[in-house]
Amino acid sequence: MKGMIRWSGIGVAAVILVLAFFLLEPLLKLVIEQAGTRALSTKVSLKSVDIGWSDSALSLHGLEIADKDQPMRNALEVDQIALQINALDALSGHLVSEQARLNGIQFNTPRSSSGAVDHMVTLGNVDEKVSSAASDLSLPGLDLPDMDQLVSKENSLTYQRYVALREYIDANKVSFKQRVEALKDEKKIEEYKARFKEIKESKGFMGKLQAVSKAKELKKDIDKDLKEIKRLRRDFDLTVKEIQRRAEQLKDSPKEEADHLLAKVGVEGGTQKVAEVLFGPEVKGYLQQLKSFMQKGSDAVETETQPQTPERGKGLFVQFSEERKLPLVWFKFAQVSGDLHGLGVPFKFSGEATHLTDQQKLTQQPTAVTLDLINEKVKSANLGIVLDNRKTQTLSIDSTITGYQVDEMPVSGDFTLNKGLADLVAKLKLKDEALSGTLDLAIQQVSLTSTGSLFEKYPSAKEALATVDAIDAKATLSGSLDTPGVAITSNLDRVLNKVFDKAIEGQLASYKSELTQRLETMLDEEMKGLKGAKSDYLSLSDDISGAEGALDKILGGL
Amino acid sequence: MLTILAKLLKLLNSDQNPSHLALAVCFGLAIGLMPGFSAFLVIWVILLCVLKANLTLFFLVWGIFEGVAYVFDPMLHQLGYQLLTSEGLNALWADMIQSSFWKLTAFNNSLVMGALIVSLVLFVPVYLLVLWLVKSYRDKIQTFIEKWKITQMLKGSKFYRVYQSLAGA
Repeated sequence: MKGMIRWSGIGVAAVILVLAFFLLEPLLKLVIEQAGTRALSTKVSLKSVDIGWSDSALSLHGLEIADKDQPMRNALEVDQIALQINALDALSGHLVSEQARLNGIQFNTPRSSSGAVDHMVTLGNVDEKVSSAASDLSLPGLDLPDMDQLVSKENSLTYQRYVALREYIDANKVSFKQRVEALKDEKKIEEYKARFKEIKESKGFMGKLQAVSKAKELKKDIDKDLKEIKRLRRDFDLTVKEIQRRAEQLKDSPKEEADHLLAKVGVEGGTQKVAEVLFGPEVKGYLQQLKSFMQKGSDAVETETQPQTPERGKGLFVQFSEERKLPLVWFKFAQVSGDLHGLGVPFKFSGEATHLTDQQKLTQQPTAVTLDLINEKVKSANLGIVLDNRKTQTLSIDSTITGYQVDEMPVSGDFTLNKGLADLVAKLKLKDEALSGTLDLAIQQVSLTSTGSLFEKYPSAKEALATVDAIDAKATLSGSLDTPGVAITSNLDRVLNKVFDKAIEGQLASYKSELTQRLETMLDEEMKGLKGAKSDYLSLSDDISGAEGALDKILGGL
Repeated sequence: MLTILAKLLKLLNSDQNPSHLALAVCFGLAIGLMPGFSAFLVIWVILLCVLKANLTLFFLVWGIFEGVAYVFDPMLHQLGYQLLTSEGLNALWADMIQSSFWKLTAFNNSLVMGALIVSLVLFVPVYLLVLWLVKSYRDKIQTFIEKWKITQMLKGSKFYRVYQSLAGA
C-alpha cells in the first residue's frame, strides 16, 4: 500500500484545495447568481462575495434582482448582506442564516444592462398607469353632459309614454266602435219598431192579451240593450278618465324626464363626494402599485419543473422528501435598512425583519417586518408588514405617521398641498383577493392650491379651498386589488359642496330648462296627432248617446 | 494519433508499475464518466493525486471516456434513474438527502448516480484486467511481437521515430 501513495500528489491535492479556497468566493457568487436567477426567473447578480472563514460569515455585495416586467430596472437592490451561514448550504445555493444584516436596500433602481431572462415579456410601466389614472379629474355634477347624447327619441321616457297612450286610444277606439255599432244596428231597431207597431195594432180580447205578453218581451229586450249601453257608457267614461290622466302625465313628462336624465348621469348628487373624486384615483394608484409588488413577490414561490427527457450531460434530479428542505433565502432574523424612494414613498427606513424568505411554504413561518421610517420632515413614522402565504396569501400593513411636514405635495392632478402637518394612520389587509382597511388622515396648518380646468371654471371653489386650514379624511377600502372600492369622507366635501352647489345652481336650472324644451319639441308633432285621435275617440260618446236615445224612444211608447 | 499510440506503447514497454497504469485507467474511466457539477469529481481528482496512478495514461483514458460518457449518456441516465426511483433504496436516498454534503455530490442526479455506479462496479474488474493485460503483454507478447517482420519494418518508419523521440525524452 505504501508503494501506492504518491507523496508529492498529496502536495498537489493540497495545492488544489488551496486553489479551491481562493476560487470559492467566485464559485459561491456564481452558485448564488445561478440559483437566484433560476428560482426567480429574472436576472440575479452580485458584485462580489467575501467569506470570513473564522466566523463562517458571508458578505454579499451589490445584489441586484432585475425587474421581470422592466428589464432595465432592478426590482430590488441591496448594497450589502452580511450573514452567518453553513458553507455547505451556501455551496448548494441556499442562503440560510439565523442572523443577517441587510444594508442599503433600494427598490426600482435603474440597471446598466438588461436583466431579461429568455422569453420574458415586457409590460407597461405601472407608474404610468397610476399617473394616468390620477390625471383625469372630473366631477359629474360640474361637467354637464352633452345634450344631444342625452336626448334621443328611442330612449326617451316621454316618447315611450306618448306611444303607449296612442296605442291605448287606438285599441279602445276600435273596441268601443264595435260595441256601439252592435247597439246601433238598424235592422234591430227596425225589428223593435215593427214589434212595437204590431203590439199597438192588436185587436180583440185574445189579440190584446197576446199584445201584453209581446210588449213584455219587447221591453225585456230593449232593457237588455239599454243595460249594455249603460255598461258601455261607464267603460267609456273610465277610458276617457284614463286618457286624460295619461295626457296630463305626458304634459309634465319632459320636465320629469329631464330630472331623471340628469340624475342618471350623476348631476343630482354629483357634488356630494368631492373628496372621493379628488383623492380616490391617488389611493387606487397606490393600491395598483401594491398589487404589482404583490405579484412580483408571489412569483418567487413558483416551483421549478423539470423536463422528463434530460439533455445530454445534465441528467434528472430525483426529488426526495427532505426533513429540512431549504428555501433559496431564509434570514430568520435580519436587521434591515434602506430607502423607499424607488417605490414612490419618500422615506428611508431601518428596522427588523423575521423570517425573510422566498418560500414560506418551506419555512412555515410568516414574514414580519417592523420599520422605522425616516424623513427629516416627519416627527415619527413606523410601518409594520406581515406577509403570510403559507396557505392563503395574506398581507397586513399597519402604518402610523405623525407630524409629517408636507411641502408642495401633489395630491391629485388638480390639487396640490402646499404645506401642512399631517398625521396618518393606515390599516390595510389583503386576504387572497379581498381587500379591507382604513386610512385616517388629519392635516393641520393646511395651505392648498388648486389648478386645472375644473378650478379655473369655478374660481369660488379655489377661493374656498384657500380658506381651508385643516383637512380630515377617512378612506374605507373594500373590494379587491383589481377592482378596489375606495369610499372617502372628508371635511373637504362640506367645503367644496357648499361652493359647487352655489356655483352650479343657476347653470343646472338653465340646463334643465333647455333639456325639457328639447324633449317637448321632440314630441310636439306627435302631440298634435294625439289631439286628433283623442277628439275622434271622444266623439264616440255621441254615438253611444244616439243609440241610447233611439231605444228610449221605443221604450217610451210602450 | 501516432503520438498517442506511441505514448501508449512506450508506457507498456517501460518499467512502469502495472498497478499504476491500471489505476490510471480506472481513474480515467471514473472521472471521464462523472458529470462536472458533482462533488464526486473532486473526490476522484484528489484520489488521483494522492494515489500513484500514471498521469499520462490517465489523461489518455480520461479523454476517451469523456467521449464514451457522451455516447452512453442515455444508458447512464436510465441506470441512475432506475436506482434512484427503486423502492428498496428509497429510504437510503431519503436519509442521504438530509445531509448537505451528499447534496453537494448531486447523488440524486440520474447521470451522476449512473456514472458513479458504473465507475464503482467497473473499478476493481478494470483494475485487475488492465493489470493482467499489462503483465501479459510484457511477459509474453512484447518479446513475441519484437520478432515479427512487421515490427522490424515499423522500426524503420516515422511512427518508430516518434516512439524513439518519446523514449529519449
